[in-house]
Amino acid sequence: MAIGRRDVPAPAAPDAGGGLLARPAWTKGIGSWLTTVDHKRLGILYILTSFTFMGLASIEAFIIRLQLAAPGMELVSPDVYNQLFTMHGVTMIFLAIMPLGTGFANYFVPLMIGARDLAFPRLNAFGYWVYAAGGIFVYSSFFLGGAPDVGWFAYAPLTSLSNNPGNGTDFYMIGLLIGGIGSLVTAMNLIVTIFSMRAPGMTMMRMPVFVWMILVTSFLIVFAFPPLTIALTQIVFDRTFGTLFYVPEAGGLPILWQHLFWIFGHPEVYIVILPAFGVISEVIPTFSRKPIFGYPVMILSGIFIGFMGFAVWSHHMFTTGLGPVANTAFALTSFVIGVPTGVKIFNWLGTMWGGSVRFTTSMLYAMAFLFMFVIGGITGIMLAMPPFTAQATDSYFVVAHFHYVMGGGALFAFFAGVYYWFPKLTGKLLPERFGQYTFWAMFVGFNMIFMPQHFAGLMGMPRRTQTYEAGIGLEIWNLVSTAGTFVMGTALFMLLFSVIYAFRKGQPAGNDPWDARTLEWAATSPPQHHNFDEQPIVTDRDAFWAQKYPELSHGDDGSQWEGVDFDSHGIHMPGQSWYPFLLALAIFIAGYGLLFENWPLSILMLVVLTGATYGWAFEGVGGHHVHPGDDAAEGAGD
Amino acid sequence: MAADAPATAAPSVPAHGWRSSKLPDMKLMMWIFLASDIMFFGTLIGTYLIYKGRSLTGPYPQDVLDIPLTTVSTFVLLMSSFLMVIALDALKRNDIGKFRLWTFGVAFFGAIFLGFQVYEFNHFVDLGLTLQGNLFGTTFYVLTGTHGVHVAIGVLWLLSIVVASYVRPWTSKDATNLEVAGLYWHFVDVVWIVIFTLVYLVDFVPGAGG
Amino acid sequence: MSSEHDTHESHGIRGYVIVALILAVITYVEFAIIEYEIAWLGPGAILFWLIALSLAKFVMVIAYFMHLKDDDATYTGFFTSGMVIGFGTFVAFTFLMTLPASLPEIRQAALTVSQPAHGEAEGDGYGGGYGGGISEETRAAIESDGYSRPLSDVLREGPPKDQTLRVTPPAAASDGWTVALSTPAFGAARAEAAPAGDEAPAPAEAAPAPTDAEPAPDEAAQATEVASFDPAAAEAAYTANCASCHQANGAGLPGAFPPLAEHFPTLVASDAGRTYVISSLLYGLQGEIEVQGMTYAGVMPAWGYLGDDVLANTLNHAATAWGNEALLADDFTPFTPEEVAAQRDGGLTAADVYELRNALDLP
Repeated sequence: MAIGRRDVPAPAAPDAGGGLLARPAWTKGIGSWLTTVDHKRLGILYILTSFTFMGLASIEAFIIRLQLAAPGMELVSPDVYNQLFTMHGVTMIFLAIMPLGTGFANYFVPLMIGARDLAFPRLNAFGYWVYAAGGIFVYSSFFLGGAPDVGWFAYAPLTSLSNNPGNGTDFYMIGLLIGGIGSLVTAMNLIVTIFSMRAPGMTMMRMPVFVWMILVTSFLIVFAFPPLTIALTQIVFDRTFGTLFYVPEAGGLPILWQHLFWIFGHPEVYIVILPAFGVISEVIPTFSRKPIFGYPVMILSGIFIGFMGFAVWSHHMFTTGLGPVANTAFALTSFVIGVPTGVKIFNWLGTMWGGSVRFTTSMLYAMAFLFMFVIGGITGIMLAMPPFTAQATDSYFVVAHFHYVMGGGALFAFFAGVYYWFPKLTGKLLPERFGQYTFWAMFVGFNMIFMPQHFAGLMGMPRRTQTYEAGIGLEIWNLVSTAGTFVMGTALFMLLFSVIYAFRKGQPAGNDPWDARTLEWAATSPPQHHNFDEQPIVTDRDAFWAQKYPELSHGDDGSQWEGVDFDSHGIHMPGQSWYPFLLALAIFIAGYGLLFENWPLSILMLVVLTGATYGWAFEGVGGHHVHPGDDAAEGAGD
Repeated sequence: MAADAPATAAPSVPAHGWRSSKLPDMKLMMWIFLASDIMFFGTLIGTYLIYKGRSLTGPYPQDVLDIPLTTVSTFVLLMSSFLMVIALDALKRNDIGKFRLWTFGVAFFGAIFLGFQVYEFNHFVDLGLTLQGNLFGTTFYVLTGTHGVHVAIGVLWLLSIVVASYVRPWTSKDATNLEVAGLYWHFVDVVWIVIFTLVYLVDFVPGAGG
Repeated sequence: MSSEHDTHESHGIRGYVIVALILAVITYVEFAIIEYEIAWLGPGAILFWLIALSLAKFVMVIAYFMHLKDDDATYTGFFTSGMVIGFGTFVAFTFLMTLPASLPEIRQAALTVSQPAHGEAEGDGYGGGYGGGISEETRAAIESDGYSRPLSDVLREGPPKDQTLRVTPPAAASDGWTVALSTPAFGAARAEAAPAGDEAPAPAEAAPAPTDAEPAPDEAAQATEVASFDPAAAEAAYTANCASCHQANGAGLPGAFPPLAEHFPTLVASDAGRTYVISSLLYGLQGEIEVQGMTYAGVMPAWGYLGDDVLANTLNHAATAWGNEALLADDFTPFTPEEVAAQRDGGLTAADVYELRNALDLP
């Protein structure tokens, strides 16, 4: 990969085109989107794709709730029901909420640190296309013999060929393998970007909290995905090549899968929630008109959560008979990880305390996040006690718990982010009053769905079961829960409507509608292709706030940067490329080759893959230089 | 000797834009990848160790593993790492001839290592150790096979560098590109050091085999 | 070119050559340790030196060949964080995975060592699952109780009403407390326990006798009817519920599921053993056991949701099929649904059953 790249562009050499494919140069139309390497376009693609998958997962959840509305319903068969809850979980976690965080990171990390793009723009494009390919791959299972039906954590030996002869499990395994590649490369890309592309003056401790949380998340992805990759590969090998990893008759240990899955799976919880923390840490200070309370503690607790995230995985396995010693140890670490999370909650409250709070829709979502995340956190502490888990495991209590964390926590935080950043993305304001109605419908609907599930769960209603008996006291809770889906569904449609409405007829937002604090608001709305006309100089923690209100800033005066011509070469715009899309496409098709054991196709795709990698390497980063304010001057490509 | 520029008063601004870190992006990327790869091989080695001694039928490790042979291939891989550093040293001194020679040497040694592995696999299959035969076969082939794929990618990469250095003559400015490939190569070597001990040698400790 | 460059070159390369030589020597030493079995070096020492030497190689390659020693600390930070998380995770994980294998020894050691001070018995901490350990008193109670009642009753209620528990304080600080039960006649206790499942108090029911066994003295005629079983139904029950693991031929799967053929009769030779096999069906079994020289660490699920008759049938099939019948003790009587029912509602855990098995020292 490093073959063709030079740190210094060759002087005025004409673009060789990489030999294979001419470098595309569309600026409009579908070609421009397929070949784009612009972090903003990719961020929008991420956000749109993840919301599309979220819509699909919501439909699945809706059918699940209809099936459970009353005892003994026969809306879907147990088999279809299994597919629905599996796909709902897989979609929400791998294809919706996690990429939503990546999408926001893609769009806003470079803007927040005053950079023009990510460190590896083509790799970023590749990450997106691979993620999309993985998602489409998993969803194609509905048309190719049935979706996976083994639950989102796919416990062995349920996934063995003898127990699960259909293709569903293969779609799950290979789809997640493909998608995992995208998460990994994008995380590495973001780490390099955050390390080496911060604006002059932006030290690590001046970075916005969102960027910090993305940095921690990226490290979590880098360390947590390899165990999952191996575990998935082991199952694929078991099913395709007849290896014995999870075959009990040959001495294999199915419990190994649980360990490997949760070594990934628990950091994954923080991979989902830490970007949400970051969004909240931007929204609350802006609408409280105060700097974040306890910034260093906020950062350190984020790092601590990330580190401890690797030390708690066995609390998902309390009931597998680990023994009291292991159970106690993991219960303790699980309690410990609650502490930095609590610190963060108090810091957000401290930020609001004494501030002049504006109750915009975004702020309402952020405050609802605080409320519901605390509920999810408290049930989490309950579940961190092994004896309690022994009672509540696999019940709707657990379902309610993680929906309060993932939905009421992460999802509401991202909704806050949508309302907060929509003006920056589009230049239009979302309708505010309608947004508040939407918020209340969402809030009421969400709590109607999931609050009763606590009680149903404590009464013993098992999760992942297609129906339940009448007359054991579960009817009312399930009915209320199902009724809630209609309220929340309405709210989701209201949100969709207001987004479409605002996109067409919204009020112009201006560059800085919220009187915000971080650098992305210094750019135009939507930002220009090159983000900033001039390299921003950072003098204080809330960089843009310090620019607007220098009298309130305690930072430096930026004098050490005087006389440095940051843009003497012009701004380098990386060239578009076909290779990221081509590589992802080859991996996508190779996935089918592996799944259907069509070896000629697989080998052909391996050849395409290798060829595309060489094409990529010899194509070089390419691009041209722009000189804002001097439209005529265009630097030569390299 | 090349890294004295950023220390001067006026920060230099490269053409690709301002950098807050003087570390090359590619090298940062490679180190992060290697950190990630630790978890990757950690999982594979962990699986191997947990399944050690759980095979219900033979052949068992002591029946097939050939320590003298593997010691030689281990030695070859270690020496390829040595060639890698002197190749990088040559490129940094702009000694392009030696750089090409040694880089080719690394790839050549890597290919020899792969040859040993192919021979070893063939031989083991003849002895009855298969991917599907017992847990030892399953975990052994997947672990060493994954390592072999890493080596093969490294060999391809290094050969591509040799070819690329003819297509567009390389100078000491390209040292980072070679250094990144070298880091990858050394890491693959380091992983083999661990595998050699935990998979091969430990099985022959009297009383500790399984 | 210039002499300056040459010095640099020779200096840099000389360092690399030295490192490479050391690496080569270490590799040879590792090889030699294994190839020429060095008698005076014990297995532990060999293992230690192998790991220490490979660690030395590992560190040298990273520090010198990958230049981490002199390079920017950021790289070291990345790599070290990966090493710390990876090493920590996989050591903990390997420990968790291998822990069950070492439990029996810990447990056995803890149970056999007399504990002067109660509550400090470390063995209690290693119950596996939620059963926890059982106290010395309970254990004594179980043993002296002759296993006439479900273990759960003993655990919950203490000794039976018609027995007296005598607790003797330690005579000296080094002695433990002694607990003794005045145990009534064995048959009486059994007669009391068996009909607990239904309302019929007839003591005779509890001592069933198959046709080929020597009748018990107090046997009534109806007992024969209760005690007999239908071999076809028994086989059907076994095939439906047990054969997928223990196999249709009762041979189990070596290393995964213990055999029943040629093994089950030895289990049910004693009444305590009968109690144990019924408990293991009702509540499952979890923990490492050794059968016919092979270790099994699998988990037997609890089958309590099956009916009493089904469970009794499976037991009878296991007792009589595959040539087991010839191995049975002469006084063997088939299992009855009532005998199974008597042990229900025990609320034992799989770990308690494991305790029971260890306490009995079953083959």
